[in-house]
Amino acid sequence: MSAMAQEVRPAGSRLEWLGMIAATIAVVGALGFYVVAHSDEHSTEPIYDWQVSAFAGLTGPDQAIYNSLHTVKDEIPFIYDDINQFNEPGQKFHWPNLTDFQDWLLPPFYKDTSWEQQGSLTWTLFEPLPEGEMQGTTMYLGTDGKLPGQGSFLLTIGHVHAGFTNTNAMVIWWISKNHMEMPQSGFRDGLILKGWREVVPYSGAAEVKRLFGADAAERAKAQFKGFPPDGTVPDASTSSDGGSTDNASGDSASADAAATKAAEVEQLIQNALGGQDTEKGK
Amino acid sequence: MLLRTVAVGVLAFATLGAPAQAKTLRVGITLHPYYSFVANIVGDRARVIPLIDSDANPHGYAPQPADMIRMQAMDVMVVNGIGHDTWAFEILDAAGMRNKLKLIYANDGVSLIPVAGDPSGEKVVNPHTFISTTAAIQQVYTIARALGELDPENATFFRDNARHYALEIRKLRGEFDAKIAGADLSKFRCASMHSGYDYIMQELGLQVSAVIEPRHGVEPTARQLAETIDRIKAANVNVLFAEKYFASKLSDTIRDATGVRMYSISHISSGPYTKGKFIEEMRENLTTIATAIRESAKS
Repeated sequence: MSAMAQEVRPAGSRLEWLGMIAATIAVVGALGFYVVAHSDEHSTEPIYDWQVSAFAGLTGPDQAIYNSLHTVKDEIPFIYDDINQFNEPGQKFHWPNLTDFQDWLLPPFYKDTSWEQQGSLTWTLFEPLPEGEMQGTTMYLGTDGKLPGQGSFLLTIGHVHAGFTNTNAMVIWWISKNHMEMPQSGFRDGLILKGWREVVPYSGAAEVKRLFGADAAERAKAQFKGFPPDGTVPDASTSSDGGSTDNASGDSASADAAATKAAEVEQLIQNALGGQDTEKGK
Repeated sequence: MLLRTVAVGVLAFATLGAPAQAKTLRVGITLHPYYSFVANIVGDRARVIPLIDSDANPHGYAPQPADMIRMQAMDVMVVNGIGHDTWAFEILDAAGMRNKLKLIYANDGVSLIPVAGDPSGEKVVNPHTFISTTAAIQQVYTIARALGELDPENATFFRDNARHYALEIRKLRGEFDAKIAGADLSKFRCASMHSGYDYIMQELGLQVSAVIEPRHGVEPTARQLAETIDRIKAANVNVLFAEKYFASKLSDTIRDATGVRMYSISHISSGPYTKGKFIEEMRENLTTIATAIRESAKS
């Protein structure tokens, strides 16, 4: 008795195929919609639901306040060092308060006309407790802006130590609500659950990637490695491709020619300067 | 093509002619503000070399052979990198120095904003980050950090100078504030000839209602101009900021059609390269804006 294979098709197989196709279209369509809805041409990184783009998502005064806060991230470590450098042994390090920021004329905290034009946000500092759950989370809350539709801001600073320069420890949050209380916790998940959204800048680095390719900034940075080769700045007489331009043979005619050319290059530089600043760095 | 043709000759010339200033970092720059930034950061511990002549217009600049020679004399070059010095990259290519000359992208850490007042609503990156205070400070820090990586012995010196310079820039805001004390800003409505002033206006909390140029360096068509004039009238714009260095009859046309007061603002992109240029011209710009605010309050 020979075995005979018989294909048995379920009565609903045609419907199953149609269902599969429909499901595939639905999934692909949903993915496409998600990508379109969550990206813009000026974003090289995805923007998640719990984030907002400073470039495309914030407008007017809120965008201005964010951009000031973004630069503050570079300044706070410096001010922190300044105000703590003469601490007595055992004295607690403290974060710059709102008075310190007035001394440093630091927007968006500094109360000038720009601050008024941008809604006169009320800023409050929450310093971390020495121990316990809140250890290491410093927060600056900016809220109660006077402009219609204005949101609130929160700058959180993670656990860092004296001398830090890692601005990644600082995160800027925004919420569309005009009034917010200081959060009980500075932890990310808790803030997201409360409706805070991390603000993501569209930075020059991202634009460079868009214009020159994803590895442009990395390429530029890679060139820094090994420079200067032995901890000293290369001699100016070494050309950029590593070849020496010194006249090692000591031939006086060649040396004169090199000196002449050097003088001509110098003249070109002076021409470009417009006859000013002939000394180094002036 | 012409550049490529002459490149071989000038490169040989430049290689021979590299200035022999031993162990001094030679920092190239593409735009005037970057000359001031770098000069204030490095003091007398490095040399600042402009890529193009001081009187060249950086808008639509056509690279010259001399640029390549100067480029050869640089150890590193500070660039805007986001659209205001695209010609620098042409020079890099023509000189065969792409991926050879070290670059510092000054805007790496800047949070960019779109061009204001674009009627299409399209969000186009504004590359004029250097006509500002806060965005300028961000660039000063970025440059100082990068130069410190190149020259670790002077890193602290560069950082301290950057901080001092940042405070000097910030003081400009204080001076501006004193000049507009008590002025009624509610009547101030401005438009600008091009998008160069968006960063400083945003930092001051002032809104630009319309920009005349549809794109950077592109004059509007007759129809676009008519539409812009309509928008200026509809928005009750009473101030028009024009470019100090690049006069245009267009601004006169708009003034005549709308009755706006016209003021000139510096793009900080012409004249001799100097250490003090950025602060001086930004102070002048802020004084002009303060004057415009005070005069609009009277109307």
